[in-house]
Amino acid sequence: MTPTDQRLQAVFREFFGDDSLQLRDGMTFSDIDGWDSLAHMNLINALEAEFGLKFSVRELMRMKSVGTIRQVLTAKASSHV
Amino acid sequence: MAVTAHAPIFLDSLDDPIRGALALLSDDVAGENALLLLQDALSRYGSRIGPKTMHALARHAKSAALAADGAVRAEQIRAIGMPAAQWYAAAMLESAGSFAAAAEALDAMDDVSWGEERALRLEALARNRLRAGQVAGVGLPLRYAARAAQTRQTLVSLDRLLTQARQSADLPVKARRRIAVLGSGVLDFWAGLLRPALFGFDIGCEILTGGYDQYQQEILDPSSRLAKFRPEIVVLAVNWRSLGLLDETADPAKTVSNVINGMAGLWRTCQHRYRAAVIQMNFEIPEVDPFGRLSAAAPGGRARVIQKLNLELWDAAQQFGIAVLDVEQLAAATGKRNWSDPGMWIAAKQYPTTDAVPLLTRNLAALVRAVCGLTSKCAVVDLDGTLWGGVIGEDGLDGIRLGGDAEGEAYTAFHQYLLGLRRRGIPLAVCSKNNEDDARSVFRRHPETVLKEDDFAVFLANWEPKPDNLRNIAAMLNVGLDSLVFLDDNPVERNLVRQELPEVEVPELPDDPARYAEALHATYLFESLSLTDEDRRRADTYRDNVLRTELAAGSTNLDEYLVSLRMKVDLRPFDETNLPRIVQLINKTNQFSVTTRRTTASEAMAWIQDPACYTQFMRLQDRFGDSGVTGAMVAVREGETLRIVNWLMSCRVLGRRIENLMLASLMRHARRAGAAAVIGEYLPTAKNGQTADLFDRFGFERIEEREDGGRLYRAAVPAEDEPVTWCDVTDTAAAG
Repeated sequence: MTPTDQRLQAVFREFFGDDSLQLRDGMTFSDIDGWDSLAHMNLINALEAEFGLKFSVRELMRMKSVGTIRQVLTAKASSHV
Repeated sequence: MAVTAHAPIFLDSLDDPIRGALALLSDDVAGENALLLLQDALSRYGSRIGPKTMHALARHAKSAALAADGAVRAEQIRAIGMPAAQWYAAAMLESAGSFAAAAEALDAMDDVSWGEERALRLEALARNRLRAGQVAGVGLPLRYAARAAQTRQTLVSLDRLLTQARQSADLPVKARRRIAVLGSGVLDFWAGLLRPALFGFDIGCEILTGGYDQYQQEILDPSSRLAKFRPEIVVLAVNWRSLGLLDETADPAKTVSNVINGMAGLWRTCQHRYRAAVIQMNFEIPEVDPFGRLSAAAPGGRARVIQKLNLELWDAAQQFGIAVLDVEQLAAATGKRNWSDPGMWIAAKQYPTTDAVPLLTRNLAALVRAVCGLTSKCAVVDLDGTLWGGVIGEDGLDGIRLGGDAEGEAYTAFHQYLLGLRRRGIPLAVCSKNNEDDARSVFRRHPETVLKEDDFAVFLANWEPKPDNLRNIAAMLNVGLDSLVFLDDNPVERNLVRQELPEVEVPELPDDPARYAEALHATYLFESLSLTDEDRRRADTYRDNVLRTELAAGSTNLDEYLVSLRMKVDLRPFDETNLPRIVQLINKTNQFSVTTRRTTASEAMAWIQDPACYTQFMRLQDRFGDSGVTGAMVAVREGETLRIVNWLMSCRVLGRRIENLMLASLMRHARRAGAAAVIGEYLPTAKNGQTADLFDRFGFERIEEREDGGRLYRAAVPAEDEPVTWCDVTDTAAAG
C-alpha cells in the first residue's frame, strides 16, 4: 500500500465510520453501506480536505469507484509534487 | 529503524516535528524506537497543536493502540503532559476502549486552544464521555464544540454525535423549532448541519430540507411535505443563479420589483398558512461577469441590479416582518473565490463551498436564535488585559496601555466597538478583580479612555469570585444569567465562569487585543431582528434602573417609592408607527408573559384592523428617563367575553404595579364595549414562572386546568375603575 492508498483508506474508514473497511479497486456505490450520491459529494469534499487539492469537473465525472478515485488521486499527487 | 539516534536533529529541522515523526513512523508504529521518537516529538509541542496535526496524531494513535502493550504506552505518553501528548494518549485510550480514561486525558488538556482545535478536543471529550456512559457531561462540550467548529467535516461529526447522544441522554435546550430550509441548489449538503450549529446556541430543531429548486411548489401546494411538516421557521435559501438575471437588464426597476413581489407572495403564504417566521437569504454579487467592473456601473448590469435588489430586500423585510440573512456579506467575508466553486456547482449543484458551510450555518443559527427571542442582552467586561494592557492596581494610570501606541490603540479600538454596542442598546457592565477606586480612576481620569464611567450600567470591581459578581449583575439588571456575555482575556477565569455558570455566554478571546472586536463579533450573540428607538435608549434605561434600585433601597415602603419615581404611564392602541417595536417586544419577552405567543408584523397589522380586537401597548416614563414601549396586550372578542391572547411586559419595568394599570384598561374597555367577562390564559414555559399566579392575584377564577400546566381563567368585568394615586395614567387603548 502506498502512502496515498493508506490515507485514502483512512478517509473512507472515518467517513463511513467503519474501522475494518478494506478498500478494493472494484468497489462502487453498492459495495459500501451509505455510499449514495449525496454521500459521494461529501466524500469528495473530505478527500479534497485530506489531500489539500481540488478536483476538476472531468475528474469528478471519472471518480465513481475506489479504483478510479485512486487513479485520479495518484495521478494528481504525482503531478503536484 | 536507525532513525532514532539522529531523530532530535532531524526533528529540529522540521516546521512540524510531530508530523515529521509520524511520517518516519508510518511503517513501525509499535517498536521501541518509535516510542522514543514520538515521545521526543510530542514533548516539543507547546500549547497549540493545529487541527491537521491533531487528525494525523489521532490516526497514528489508532494503529499504535493495537500493539500488545498499548495501555502501558498510552500511560507513558500521557505522562509527558504536553497537550499533544494528552491528545495522542486519549486517542490511544479511545481505540483501546478505555473511554473514561480518554475523557479524563482530554479534560486535562490546557484549554487555550482556539477555533477548530478547540472543537476537535471538545468533540472527542463529548464522544468519550458518551461512550463511557457519562451522559450528563456530554451536552456542554458538544455545545461549545459546535460553536467553535471551523470545518464542515467537524460539524458532520458533531451532528452524528448529537444524534447518538440524544438516544441515551436528554439534552436540554432553551427552545425547539421545526425549520424548513427551501431554495435552489442541493440543500442537503448543508441544511442538516443547522442541527449542530443551533445546538451550539442551545436550540433544538427538526429540519426539513426542500427539493432542488422546488421552493415555490413546496410553499404554494397545500398538500406538500412542507404543509405536513408545519414549519415554525421557513428559510428561503435561493441563490443568485436561480434569479435568471441577464448580464444586462433592460428595465432594472421592474426586474427588482418583480423579484421582490414574487418573494413577498411566498413570505405571506408562509406567514398566513403556516404561521411561520421567514428568513430570506439575500444575494451574492458574483465576481465573474462578462461586463467586468462595468457590471456595477451600467444601469442594468447584473452587479448593480443585485445591489438594488439587496437594498430593497431590507426594506421589504421590515415591511413584511421577515428576517434577512446577509449572504452577500458572508460571501465577501469568506472571499468570493472561496465562497463558491464553479466546478462543484456544475457537477453537483453545490452552493456555497464546503469551507463556507460553518460560517453560513452559524450565521443562520444566530438569526434563528434572534427569531426565538434569545438574543443576548448585556456585555459584561473584565478590565485588566481586556479593556487595557497591564494591571491598573500595580502599573497605575501611567503604566497601563490604553491608547498612545499600537498595543494601547488595540484596546481603544475595542472600547469603540463596545461603545457601539451600547449605542444600539446593549448595556455594558464591569466585572473585575480590582479595588473599585483603581478601576474607576481609568474611566474618570485616563486621557485616552473611550468608555466613560457613565457608559456602564453596573460597575462591580471587587475581590469576590466572578461568578458571584455575574449573578449580582444579572439581578441588578433584572435579566437572566443566560442574557449575559462575559468577556475576559484570562482563560482560567473564563473556564471558572463556564463551570460555575454554564448559562452565561463566555466567548473565547484571542491573545491579540486587536482581534477582540472580531472575536466578539464572530460569536453573533447580539444578532437581533430589528433596531428601534427603544433599543437605542435601552442601555440608559438599564443604568437608570440600577439607580432606581438604589432609590428603592432608601424608601421604606413600595407606595412611597412608586410615588417618588413620578411615573407617567401611557396606554395606547397599536399603531403602524410603533408596530416594529411592539412585534419585537412580543417576540422576545420571556419572563413576564402569560402565553409567550410569538407574532409577525402581518398578524399584528391584522389585529389593528380587526374591530373585534383590543390592542394595547404601554409606554413608561419616570424621573430617571423614558423606558419607551415596554408592555403589550392583545385580546379578542368572543361572544360575551374578551379573551387575552397576549400580555407581556419587559423585565425592565417590573415591580411597579404597571400590570394593574394594563389590566384596568382592558376591564374599562370590556365594560364600555358591553362584554360580561374577561378570559385569561396562562401557558407555562421554562421562563414565565413569575406570571403563573398572575391571574390568581387579580382575583380571576380558574375555569380549566390542563395536564401541561396551562390554565384558563375568568373574571367578571367590574362596575367601575379603581382609582390610581401613585402615578399619572393616560389610557386611549380602552374604547371611548
